[in-house]
Amino acid sequence: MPALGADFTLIVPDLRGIGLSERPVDGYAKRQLAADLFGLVETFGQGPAHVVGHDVGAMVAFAYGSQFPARSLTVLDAAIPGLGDWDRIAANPRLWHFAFHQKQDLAETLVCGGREYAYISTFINDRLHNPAAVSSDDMAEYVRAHSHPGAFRAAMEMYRQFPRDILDNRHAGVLPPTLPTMALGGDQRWGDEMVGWLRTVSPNAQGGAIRDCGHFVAEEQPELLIQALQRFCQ
Amino acid sequence: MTFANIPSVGSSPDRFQHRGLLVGDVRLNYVTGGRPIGTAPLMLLIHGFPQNWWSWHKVMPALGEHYTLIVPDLRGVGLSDKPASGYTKKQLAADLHGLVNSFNAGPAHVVGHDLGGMVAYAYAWQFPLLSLSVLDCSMPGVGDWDQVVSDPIIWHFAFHQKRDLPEALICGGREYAYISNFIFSQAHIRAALSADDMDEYVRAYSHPGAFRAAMEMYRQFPQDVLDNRAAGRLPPDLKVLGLGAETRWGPRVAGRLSAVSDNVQGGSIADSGHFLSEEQPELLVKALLDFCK
Repeated sequence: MPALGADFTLIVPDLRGIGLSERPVDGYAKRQLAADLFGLVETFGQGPAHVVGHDVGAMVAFAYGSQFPARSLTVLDAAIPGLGDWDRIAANPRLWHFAFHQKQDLAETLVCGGREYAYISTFINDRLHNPAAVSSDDMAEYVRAHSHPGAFRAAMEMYRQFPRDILDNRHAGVLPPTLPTMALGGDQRWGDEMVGWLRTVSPNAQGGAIRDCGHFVAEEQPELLIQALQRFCQ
Repeated sequence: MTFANIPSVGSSPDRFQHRGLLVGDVRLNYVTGGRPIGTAPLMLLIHGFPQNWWSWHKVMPALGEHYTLIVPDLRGVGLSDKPASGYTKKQLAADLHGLVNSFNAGPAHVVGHDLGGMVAYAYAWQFPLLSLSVLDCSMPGVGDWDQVVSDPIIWHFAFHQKRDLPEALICGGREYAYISNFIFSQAHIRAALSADDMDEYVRAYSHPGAFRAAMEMYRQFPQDVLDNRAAGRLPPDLKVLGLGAETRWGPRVAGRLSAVSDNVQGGSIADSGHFLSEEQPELLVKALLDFCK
């Protein structure tokens, strides 16, 4: 944020359901989460934004790019519901948690009320290439963000809405041809595979792999990510 | 959670008894009964996850009229010992072969469900047996296995294989929540499993180490794949039955077995979910009696 803040006015929300944002019963389709954020951007009265999303946030960014004006769209290390060869991607055992999180009530029953740290720290550590990139204070922050009453439920709802997201994304079709797009993956995770998925709806998509990097691009390779974003968003 | 109103773990269908046997350095709990030893063939019934010997209780009286039954808790489950290792299907089958041998009544008909079907399969390529029956499961490395492991229906394969994670989330109070959810999500006739049945299964995986042992059975799949592929085809004269549940694997079980045997019968049990011996006990008894004649 400090380096990007030198060039841009930053807006860095907690999604609906997470951390200090509210946690309604519904509204966790990516289309709605993107609409929430569009409302937030609008309040600045500064025109469209560069939109950058990571993981589930990348799915939201994609839904934003397909619905609302944006200066550019960047997706970081995530599969996007319905995009590319989604059925094959979703069948990758690496994504076993998609099915687990989609089971109604089960993940909440197992994780909430005391096991948030065990689950979230395991989840994050499994997807880090450089485990030192996320400190114990960082971990505590993420655990806290998902320990508020309802927060873990809300997060699971984001997965349970994938079938809706697939329909929405397929219905939306290709992205606006004037929208510059970029996909970056950690070379230890999705790597440059993502660019291919994005090109199915945005033929001029740029991007590739971030080296020596797992899933958490912003924390594992902050400088490489800053460079890539500064170059792309010029 | 209360267990006050359920039968003690020592209870069993009429005329069956609990026994223990030290096989190697592992003490196995098993239930036995039916025809007296030596007056009928042996039949070994192998349970799966998340169950113990009790999964067979509805079919034991009828099968016991024709066979001497051996109904164990696998290494790691229920009242059997729970060592740190030995959870490959090859080893679990070797445990049970030691148990069958102790009866001194020749080879057995071997019947396995779920993970127990994988054990039954590993039994069949290692040891002599009268016949092999595999109920509603896949077998590591056999037939359509690579497709199976990428089917979201078995997301739990990957979850259970995560080192320590399922134990961290489930043990110490959430066994009932997980096991009841697991069973109900795979059952078709859910009322076939009573609250008492559920408590029995939860208890079988609540002993210290039992849940870890069960997860180890999944963590050994890569070794099982190698073992099964090295074993090659089943003996050509071995009769093989593959039965799937209509709402689960159906005829695909027999299809899988056809990749390793030309002597496969089977198909689908109608109107049943995964738990054939509890959801459709009469159809299962009939199928086994017809096949094991």
